[in-house]
Amino acid sequence: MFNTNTKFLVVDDFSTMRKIIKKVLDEIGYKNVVEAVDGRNALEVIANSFKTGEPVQFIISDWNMPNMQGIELLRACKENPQYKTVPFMLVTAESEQAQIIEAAKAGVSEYVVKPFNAATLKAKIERVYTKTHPSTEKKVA
Amino acid sequence: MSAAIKQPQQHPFLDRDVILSLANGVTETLQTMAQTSASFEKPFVAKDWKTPCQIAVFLELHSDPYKGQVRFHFDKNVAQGIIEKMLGAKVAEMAMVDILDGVGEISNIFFGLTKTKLNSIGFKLSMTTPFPCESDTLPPIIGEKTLLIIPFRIENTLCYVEMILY
Repeated sequence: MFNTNTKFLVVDDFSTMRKIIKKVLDEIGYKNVVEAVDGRNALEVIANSFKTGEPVQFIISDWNMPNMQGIELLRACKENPQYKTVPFMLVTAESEQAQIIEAAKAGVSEYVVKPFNAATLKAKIERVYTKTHPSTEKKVA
Repeated sequence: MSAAIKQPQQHPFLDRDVILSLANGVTETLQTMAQTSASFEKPFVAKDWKTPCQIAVFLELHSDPYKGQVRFHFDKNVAQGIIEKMLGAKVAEMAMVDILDGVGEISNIFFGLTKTKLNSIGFKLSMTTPFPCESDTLPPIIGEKTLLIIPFRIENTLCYVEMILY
């Protein structure tokens, strides 16, 4: 069964999208969710979470954001020995092949294209979770 | 041999594919994210037009060497209804800042989708980040510009796409 205490970080400059993603996580059963408004803020939240011994365990980030974009955040995480194994999902309105390839090369775990419906997002979150936690059995709601 | 007659070049933002991609971007986004249907009506060209809506989102478009601006105009109640459907919950009193945030995100998705559709048919288009605002704070249109107005209806209320051609 999924560990519903898994700590998620949702990164988006629009609060509406953060709320939508949090609602989907809540429906799956994940209640432990922290937020950041851009990549730079996300790095602070991640660093702080590792310092306090309650590390972020799953990152869901927008691509286009001010200050630091999602792809830069992804690269920064993958370059950090502490964070590089944290699953990283990009949720973005950008769906051009070149960008998908760029994200794949940077080590993204999953890529969700907006517009999406809740079922699609749920399925992708569960797929990444299962892939990164091989002992996970099918979720019981 | 007959000499080819040179046609005056039409602004590319008036191209049927651009308008269709934009309309499809809007309808697909609203249907997927908010289970809301939008039906587009016949576009018209104007030199002077004032939005009857209260909420707007604007951004600059660029397809070398052409430039333009797109504005989405939303009725406030329609915008709130769309955001509530996206969030899956009724909000008794939604603050203006939350309405602007919601329409900003929706417009971001409209344009991401439109851009992808246009790029797939070889039309390279770049755009700035959508900026949501209350309609009465929209920047003025300087000089005489051609406006293409595309009305669309959501739950019997008219909203508009306005293309300002530079």
